[in-house]
This record gives sequence, C-alpha cells and structure tokens, in this order.
Amino acid sequence: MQIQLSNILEAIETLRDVDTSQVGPTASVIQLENVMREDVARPGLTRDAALANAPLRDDPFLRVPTVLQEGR
Amino acid sequence: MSLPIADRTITELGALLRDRKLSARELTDACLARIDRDAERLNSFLAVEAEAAGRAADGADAALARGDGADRPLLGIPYALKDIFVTRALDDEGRDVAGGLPTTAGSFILEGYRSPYASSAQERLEAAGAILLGKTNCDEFAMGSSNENSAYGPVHNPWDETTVPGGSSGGSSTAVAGGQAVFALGTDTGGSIRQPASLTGTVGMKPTYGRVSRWGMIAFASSLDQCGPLARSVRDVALVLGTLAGHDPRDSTSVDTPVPEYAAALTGEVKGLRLGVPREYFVAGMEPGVEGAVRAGIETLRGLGAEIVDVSLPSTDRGLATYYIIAPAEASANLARFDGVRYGLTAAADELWANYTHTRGSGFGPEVKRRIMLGTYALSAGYYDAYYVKAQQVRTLIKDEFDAVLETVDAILAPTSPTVAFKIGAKVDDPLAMYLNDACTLPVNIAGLPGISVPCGLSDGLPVGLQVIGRAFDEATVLRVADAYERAAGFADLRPPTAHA
Repeated sequence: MQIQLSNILEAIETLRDVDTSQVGPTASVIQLENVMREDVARPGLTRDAALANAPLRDDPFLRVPTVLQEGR
Repeated sequence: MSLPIADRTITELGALLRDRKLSARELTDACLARIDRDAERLNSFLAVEAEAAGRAADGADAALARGDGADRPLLGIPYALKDIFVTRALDDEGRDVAGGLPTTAGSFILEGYRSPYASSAQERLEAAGAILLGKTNCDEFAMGSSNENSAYGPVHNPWDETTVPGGSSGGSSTAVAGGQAVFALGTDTGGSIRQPASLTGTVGMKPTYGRVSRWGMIAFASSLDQCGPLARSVRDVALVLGTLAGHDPRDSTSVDTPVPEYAAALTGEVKGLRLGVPREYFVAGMEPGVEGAVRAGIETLRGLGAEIVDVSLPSTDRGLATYYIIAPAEASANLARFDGVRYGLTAAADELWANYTHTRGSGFGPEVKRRIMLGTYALSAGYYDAYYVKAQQVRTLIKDEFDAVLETVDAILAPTSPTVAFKIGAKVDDPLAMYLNDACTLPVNIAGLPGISVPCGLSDGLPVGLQVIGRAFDEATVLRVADAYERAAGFADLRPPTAHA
C-alpha cells in the first residue's frame, strides 16, 4: 500500500504546475446559504430506535469502553 | 420478437399494467425469478425482500384496478436500490416493520445494520407506487469503478461474466441489464452511475448537484455525491428522475427550483441544437472501438440536424488529480462516524482508542483505508494549502471552463468510459489505472453538472456508452438529446445474450 499511495501522491502533485494565482477556491458548486427554520419541536427517533443498532447497550445508555485509564 | 417481460422498459410495462394485460404481481415474480436464478452467477443483490415486494405488488394491483395508474407511471414497477441508501420496511398501512432490509454500503463495518429511517429516494418511489425488490451490491462506500471493492464479493457483468459491471453502482447496473429489476438507483460521485451504465448497455443519469435529495444516502464526498436512476431507456430515466427530483428540506444542499415535466422534453428533435465535442475527452489509452462507436454516435446526432461544434475544456486532464484530493478529503471526514460505538461492527477492546483502531482496522477494506489516509494527509496542517486549497482552486478552473463552453453550446457530447468492461481482477493491484476509468466522468461531478450515459453500440461484443453533459439544472435538454439519439441509433433493445437463456 505504501507504493500505491506514493504513486497516487505523485499523480496528484501534478496540480502544482497549474497557475491558480488568480483563482479562488470552490468548495461547492451551488451557492450555499444558511438554511434557517423555526425552532420548533418535531417528531424524531424514539430512544429505542436510535439505540437499536448499538453494539453495546446499557439501557437507556450506550456502553463505551474505558476512555481514560488511570495513570494516563 | 418481443423481449421477455423481465427485460422490458417501464414505458412498455406501464401500458400493460394499466391495461390489466399484466399484473404487478406477475411482473414482480418475473424479476424475483431472475434474481433467484442468477444470484450466484451475478452476485448483484445483497438483500432481497420477496415477501414485502409481493405485498407491495398486490397493493399496486388493487390501485391499478381502481384506475389509479393514469398519472403514476411507476405504479407497480419493481426496482432495486443500491445498498448506499438506507431503507426501512413498511407494512400495507405504511407503518414501520421491525427487521426491514439491512444497509451495508458494501462494507463489513455496517454488517447487520438496519436503519431506523428511510432515505428520501425510498420514500418518493414508495409514494409513486414502485415496488422495492431489494438492495444491490456496490463498491464499499461507493469507492470504486468495478464493484471489486465490495466486502461481499464482485458483481459479474451479464454481458460476459468474466468482466466487471463497472462501479460503484455495479449491482444496480447488472440488475437492470440482467432483467432483475426494471430500474435501479445508483449514486454518482465521480461516474458511479454513468460508467456502470456504459459497461452494461443501460442508461444511467447523474442529475445536477442539488437536484435530488441526498437524505438517507450514506455520504462519501458530500460536495460531489448525487443520486440518480439506471434504466433501459432514456424515457424510463426521465420518468424516474421526475419522481426523485425536487426540494427536500432535510438536505440543505437540495435546491428549491421548479422540476419540469421531463417526459415532455423528449420531442425526438435536435434540429437547431448546438452540441459541443471537447477534443480533450478523446484521451490517450481510449480503446479504438470505443472511440469509433462514440464518434459514430456524434455523427448520428449530426444527421438528425444538430450542429456539432469542436470545443475545448483545457483543464480536463487535471480532473483526476483534483478529484483524488477533494473526494478522499471529504470521505475522511464523513467516514469518521464509523467508530464502533453507536452502530455497526465493533471489535470490542477494553479501552476506547483500541476499540476505534480494531473496529476501523478490521471493518474497512483496502480502498476505503487508502482514501481515508489520502484524505487526512491532504487536510493535515502544513499540506492543507498545497493539496486541498489547490484542488479547490483547480475545481474553479474546471467549472469555469464548462460554464464558458455551455454558453456557446446547448450540451456536450463525450465518451462515458475510455474502455469497455474489463476482466475481473485486471486492475485491482493498480489503483491509478482503476481511477483512470473515470477520467471522462469525474470532471462533471467536479462542476456539479447533469450527465447521462446512453448505449451507442458494441465494441468486441461489449457495450459502449455515449455521454451527454448539460447546463446546471437543464436535465431536460440532456434527456432530449439522449432520447433523440436513442430513437435514431437502434440500440434501445440491446440486452445481454445470457438474459434470455
């Protein structure tokens, strides 16, 4: 995979040759504007539905392995 | 001689359904029989829901019997969804049914995942009365051009089972070409609808970015992804697009602009249209048989009265490098959510960091890992300007060139893929060679424009696609050109020889 990544990087580095001194960046092709809506409650997923795919459950929570171990 | 039921178009089948010469149940059973017969041979479906499809077909038959079909062209038509769309099952009353179809994105990391909500695409097609058969195989997280990156094995092209069906929507293209679904949805980030359509002799369209809601489509590269149909005729694609298109407040990049009556645009007339042929699209490495078929297609349109104009898109050869910075960068951010905590695979460890690394290390395949690494590298401090910002600047150049050319012509004609379907395994060890499959399609995503691939003949017995690219939100002209071509060219009945066996 190291060689493959090097080859890909070599190919994408050819962009260096393009003169972009007068060009702005495009992050999105459509004119993005903030989308506003009224701040009202709407029906969403029930807790059960939201947790149904969790690999480790401890209702009504998700169970997560230890985040910080002592001494670290 | 007329084609078997399972191989016909929405347009033909819709007429038979409305005249009650065929029931939705019979049609659905014909598709399910093909899915079943070719399950191993083609490997195009990851999940099939025969019972739910049967129930939906009976519902459609009841509606058809009431005469509901007149303004509902998809009523009773069986279809398949690429396994990138999240799905949930509904009962006859439209209520959620527990244990619906799984959604895997072709990845082990989502094995067994069942979505608690439906994609907009599923909702809209369900409301239109179309019948969901199942979920189609695809490259993992839609990253690939051959469907060989699926965790669930490659899909085989029904034209020649030793070749690929294209990708990443290879299960969808095979389902449509192989008579397993009358139409299917795919997603297209760099060509993933159009290239598999080209390689399987089907019609596939990527709409303008913002035309169709991405709600419920598992994100790969959010500024490039679009969803669209694969079908057996341009008219069929127009019918499905008309159902999918339109504003959706749940996707803030979906654009609130009127959706025209696409079928009305299919006049068969191209007289007076100016169609540009960009010389940079006839690239080195293009197969002579492909170039010949595409150039013959262009001549057909000239013969129909279109004015063919030589145009130039000079930054075309920068498209690949630009794409392989922007798409992995966005993917690396989008795929951070697969952490083994909230859903999907978890490789349990006694500590959170190990949980992440084991889950992601064992859950993602090599291509996905490659792209996450490329993307995080391109976004990392110190390289951000040299890679990511640079690619966004070149993106501006590519888009500006398209916009300038499309001020002088009504649409652009180009090859879809530089080659016909290649052998399974031929390019798996050379990612760069694989990426070159999309050289003619990915600039269209970079610019956010609509593009369609329509069959333009065979080379070495395998299908070739002609690409029509249009102005933003002008799918109507793209469809009009493709439909006029399809009617004149005589390839509309192209089907894989094995389909009728």
